[in-house]
Amino acid sequence: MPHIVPILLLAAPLLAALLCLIPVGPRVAELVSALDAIAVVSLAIWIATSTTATPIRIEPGIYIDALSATMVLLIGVVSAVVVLYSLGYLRAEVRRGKLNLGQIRWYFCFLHLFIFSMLLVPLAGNLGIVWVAMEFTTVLSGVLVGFYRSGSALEAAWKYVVICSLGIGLALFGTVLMYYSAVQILGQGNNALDWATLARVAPHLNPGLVRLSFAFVLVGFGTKAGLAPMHTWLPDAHSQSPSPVSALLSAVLLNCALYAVLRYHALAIRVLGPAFSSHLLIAFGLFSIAVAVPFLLVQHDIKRLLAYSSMEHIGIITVASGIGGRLGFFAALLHLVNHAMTKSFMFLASGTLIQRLETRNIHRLGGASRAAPILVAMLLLGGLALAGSPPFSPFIGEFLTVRAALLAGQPLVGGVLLVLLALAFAGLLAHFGRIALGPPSRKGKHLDAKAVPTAYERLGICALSVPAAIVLVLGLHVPDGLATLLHNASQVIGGA
Amino acid sequence: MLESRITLADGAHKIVDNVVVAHGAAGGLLNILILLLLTSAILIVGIRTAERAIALLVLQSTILAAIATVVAVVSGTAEIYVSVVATLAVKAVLVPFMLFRVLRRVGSVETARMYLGARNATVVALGLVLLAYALISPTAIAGTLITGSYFPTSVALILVGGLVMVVRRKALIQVIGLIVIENGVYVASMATTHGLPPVVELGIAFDLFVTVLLLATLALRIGVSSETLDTSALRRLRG
Repeated sequence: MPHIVPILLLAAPLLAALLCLIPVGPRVAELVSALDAIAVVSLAIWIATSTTATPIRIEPGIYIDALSATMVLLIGVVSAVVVLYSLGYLRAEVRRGKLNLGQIRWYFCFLHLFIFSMLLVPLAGNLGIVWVAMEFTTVLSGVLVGFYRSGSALEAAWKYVVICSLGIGLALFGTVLMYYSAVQILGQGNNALDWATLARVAPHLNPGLVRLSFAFVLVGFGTKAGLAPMHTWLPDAHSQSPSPVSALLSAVLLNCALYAVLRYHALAIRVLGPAFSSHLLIAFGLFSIAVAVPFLLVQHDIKRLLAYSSMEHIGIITVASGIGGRLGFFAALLHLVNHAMTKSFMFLASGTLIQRLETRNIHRLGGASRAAPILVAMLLLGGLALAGSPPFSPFIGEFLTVRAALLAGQPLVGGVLLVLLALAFAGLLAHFGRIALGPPSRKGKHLDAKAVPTAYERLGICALSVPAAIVLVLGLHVPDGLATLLHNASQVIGGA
Repeated sequence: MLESRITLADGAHKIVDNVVVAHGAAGGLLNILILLLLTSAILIVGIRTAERAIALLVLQSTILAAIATVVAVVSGTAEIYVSVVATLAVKAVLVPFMLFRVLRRVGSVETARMYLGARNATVVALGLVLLAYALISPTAIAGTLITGSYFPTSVALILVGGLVMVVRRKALIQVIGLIVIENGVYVASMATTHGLPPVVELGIAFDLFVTVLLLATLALRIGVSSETLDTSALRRLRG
């Protein structure tokens, strides 16, 4: 891979954001965004396919191993889908009077900056820069969460930025402690925050400091990953933001935060052995699932339902990374991909449904299949996938996680996980069953439902079918290329 | 680190020990600055109006920059000046300016309401500072640096900043709490390693600037839409 590729990948969204600032009609911003989406996804696939077990270092400060390549691939695919879907979504919002035409280019400007900041997280080799990029994602996504400027959207954005900045302040404290433990061996300078260098000298790091550092980083970045009990911002931010932004938050941003935790987890394993950080991850993961499940059962708002389901799946990924071993890490990374694909599809598809029926309330969406039969059928299948039903790919991730727990001699973890997953299954199935097959709501409006989709909207439907297709394919067979990438990535975390 | 019986009086003793054992003139100066830093944090908890809290924040950030300057002079590390300039520019000038602007536009000058009375909150803050010193011995994490014994101070600042965010209802003062926490982390990085690498320090300062810019904008919009910056009024989103 030429060294210019990752630099182009970072430059493309920045350039697109700049071009969106040109004060002309929305057409230019839309064209630029579509081109940028194609560029980003192509470059991301290029990086992912050319990454082997040997990491690549590009000055200044870019470091790509299999773990970062996995994240880059995920961000590239989901953000391209989201950008293409946004074209039609925003035009429809303008028609509904929720936004005005002038806001479209600002939306795309912040969206591209947000994508840039997320790409910076896995590409930066320096843990300090990873922190800076994470805080930057908070600010940029905060703008997008409050984009509707309604009272509740502003409130959600405020809560999101304050809670996540507080969390990330603690993560900075953890970063300082890690730097201190490294400075004692490597001396001052960027080298002492360089991830690869740290992993090499890990056996000599001060165990007490690393333990403290991991605890702060887990709570800090865990806040942004939506781990309970620091999750309170999550359902508000996901439900109040525009649907494409919800998809990005849930499918990619949570994973970026988890990625940072996994980097520190990898260091903690090398310094302290697997016990300390693994136990913390399993405890936080199971607790997050346990907190999310009751809210899944009683939810009335479809976007909040999907938000709590994200918490559940992030919990599963966290538990799987805590169980560790080759199978555990592989399950964690595979489920990370599965969840990102399923959830981005679900947020986008429900976004279209919400626009057509003018409600987020699950009861009022009841019997929506008459208004939009294909869309609702896809939503029902997506709901089944989220609930963990075969033949969809999230089932494989959940199955491997439980299997890893049993093989690692932790039947209690596996058992608790199974019970919680069964409850979540029941909740999700009941809600999506009601939307698809329930009696039509008398209050629901079905006026716009039969409207002919515009060209942009057809493009959006095509875009959201991509992750849906991936969910289906991965459920039947994980392609060898992806399996190798994920195996290499799990070795980055757990060591060879 | 953690003895079986710890009293807050232990914390007080350790603060006194810490101040009395000064390492020459620079050490003495640093000790005074650290005491001022702690005092400013405790005062913010009980302060009456948002204006005064912002003024105290300017003071606190300036003290922080002064500490970093002393460290830079004594240790001869030129890189620290980068973070001195960044700290002054962002935390002592830009952030307070943005917060004052919000105050002027929203016109909320009345007494900042609290969940806990001002006096009680101050007592709790004092307790948290003593607790930090009681739990963490100044020598626990100390390296060979002149600032080595200030690690407990950073923990105290982080705890007090968290307290500010919890007990104050006013949106703006929560932002100030965030910055007090950030200042605490800055002291930690000074105490352990003379600060993070300059590139990272600049990134952190930039992040803090844009975060407060966004929060100030949100506060303005929320203030305009609901005529209040009282965060206890923010409870539309539940369940």
